[in-house]
Amino acid sequence: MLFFIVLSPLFARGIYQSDKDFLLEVFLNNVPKSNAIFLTGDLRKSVETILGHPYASIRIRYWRQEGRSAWILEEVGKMEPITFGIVIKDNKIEKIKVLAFRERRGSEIRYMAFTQQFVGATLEGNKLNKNIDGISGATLSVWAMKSIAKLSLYLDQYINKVNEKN
Amino acid sequence: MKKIRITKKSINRIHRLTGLFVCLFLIHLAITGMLLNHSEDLNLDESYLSGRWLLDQYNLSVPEAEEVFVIDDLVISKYGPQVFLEATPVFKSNNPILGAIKNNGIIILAFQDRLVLLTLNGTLIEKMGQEAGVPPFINKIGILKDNIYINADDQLWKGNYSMENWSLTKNTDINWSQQRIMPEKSEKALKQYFTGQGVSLEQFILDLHNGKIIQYFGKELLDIVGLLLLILSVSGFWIWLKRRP
Repeated sequence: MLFFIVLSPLFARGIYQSDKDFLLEVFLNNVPKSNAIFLTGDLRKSVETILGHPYASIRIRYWRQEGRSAWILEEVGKMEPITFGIVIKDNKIEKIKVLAFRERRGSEIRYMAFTQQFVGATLEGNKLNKNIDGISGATLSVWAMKSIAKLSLYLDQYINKVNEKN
Repeated sequence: MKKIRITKKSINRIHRLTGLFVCLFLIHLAITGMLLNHSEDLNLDESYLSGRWLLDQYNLSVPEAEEVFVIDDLVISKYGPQVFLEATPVFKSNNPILGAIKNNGIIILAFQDRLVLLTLNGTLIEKMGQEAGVPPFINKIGILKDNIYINADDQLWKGNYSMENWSLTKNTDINWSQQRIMPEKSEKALKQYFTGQGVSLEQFILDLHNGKIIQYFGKELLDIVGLLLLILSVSGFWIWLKRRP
């Protein structure tokens, strides 16, 4: 029993769902063509403000169909990047999921009981409009998920503005 | 049973032998102690040692590169999960690098499940997997007349400019990316990354002084020396008491 308790966090590491399968699930097997945005200029600065550091890459890919946008984003929990899949509709989070978890601790953020708190959350300034209850022992992973939730909402707003202009 | 008798002669002998053995360590402790006492004057903290044996003692040895690719003058290597462009760590991957090419001012690294795009100064542009249109199960990557080719799942694919669209092709004259030997200049730079300047002379002398340089029994050896010093002191005092008129 003790053996299982000690080793269980190690077994929680891994890929829960591939990026492709996430998109197939979100768009019901009809995945639209992807688009990408480059993090340059003011956008880069805004992203840096939200995360507290620059994003890992300078190009972010997204998928958009019928008012919904899907994002696959990474953020470091403590040492290793966690891959999140996020769906935004009407400026609100429709779904957030941990696709790959590589840390030793904090994998509890993958449970639906936790991710469900983000559903319906919108961005107010640079904060979420909903209070997200933390998980003891998974503080950094929770912070990572909150940061990515804010980032995806911000990027969704950004692409909506760009599309309106065009 | 034979009775052990402590005589003046036997104490003298113990004292002499202990003194002989301990004096070597006392000389060592005195010299290293004096050096440490004047560490700042002698700039011991600004001098560095980088011998391979010494670096091994401090677990500062340079690991072996798992993969090395050279594109023009740029060296891409992987040590454990860390991928380096020259001596700069750029990102981590648990999968091996299968090839590296440069096209339109972008470095493209091939992994089994994705292509990783870097700028020439090592900034990560994007990791493109199946979700971005890249075929899975990549074996190798190559280039021909500014076109990118990958061999994935035993099929030859040609990518478009953005690498989002791939079409099956049959071209066979492709320059496939292959591993190379690490250039000496890059090896030196990476050694510097892993070991820094080396071990400071001050740290080395301090570890010589306190015995930590001998990893497994340095501390115990100094305990033995301490014990012998106690025996030396007690036997010396005993001899002095006996010689008093």
